[in-house]
Amino acid sequence: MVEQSGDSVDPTNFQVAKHQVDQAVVLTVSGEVDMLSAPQLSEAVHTALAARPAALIVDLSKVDFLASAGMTVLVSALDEVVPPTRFAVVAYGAATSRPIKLMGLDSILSLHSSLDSALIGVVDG
Amino acid sequence: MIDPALCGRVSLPMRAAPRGPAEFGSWLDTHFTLGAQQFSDLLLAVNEAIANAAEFAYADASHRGTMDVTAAYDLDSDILAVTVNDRGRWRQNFSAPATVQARGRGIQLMVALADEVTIDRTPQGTHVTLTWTDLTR
Repeated sequence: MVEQSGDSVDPTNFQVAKHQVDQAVVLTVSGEVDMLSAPQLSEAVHTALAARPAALIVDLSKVDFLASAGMTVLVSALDEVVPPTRFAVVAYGAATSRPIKLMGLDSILSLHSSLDSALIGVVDG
Repeated sequence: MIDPALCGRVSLPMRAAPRGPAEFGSWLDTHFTLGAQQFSDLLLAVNEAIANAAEFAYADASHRGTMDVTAAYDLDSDILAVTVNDRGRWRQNFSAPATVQARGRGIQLMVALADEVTIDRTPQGTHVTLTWTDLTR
């Protein structure tokens, strides 16, 4: 997306890493999830779901900025999840869980304040 | 009166738009002492206004528009007004539901985060104004 030269765009400090915790795939996201980095998160979610894991958890604990573009990725992921795969989101604080709740997305997403809670949630249903 | 020291103006090429929120954040940091939640609310709302303005620029890489982000704080009334002006047309293709939904989410978020939001679309461009009252009280 930020192809070519010209007006340089500072890369946002976005990172996403994939871990396996028991039967769950955890995407640990850090930095800023904005209009530039959202497509990368979307791609990571898409790739993780393609392997049909028992559960996918997107951990936003280390995210310090979550724009609507990032929330759109979470909602799209929900549409993309095929049972029996379970989907959960970890977010806590002013930068992440607050905008998620302001948008009312906590009513459709399985939202947890810690990864431990999300891991228990996806096992217990 | 509007304190000239508390007026900020930045003009960005469209493709540098992602820098806008960071610049606004440093400006806020320089002039105000805000709580973490308030700071993050302001930054997010301004980000959404900029993202809205920039969206079509990213859809068309050859587009070379600019946008202006202006912030003005009125000391007497304790009101902060942030205006994002772009000189381009919103994408006319409204057929993609995902695009409409994503844009709607950005607007919904601005409305939730700011005390007042006005969006003025003209053939010359779009002007979004976000207003916060009682900023420091």
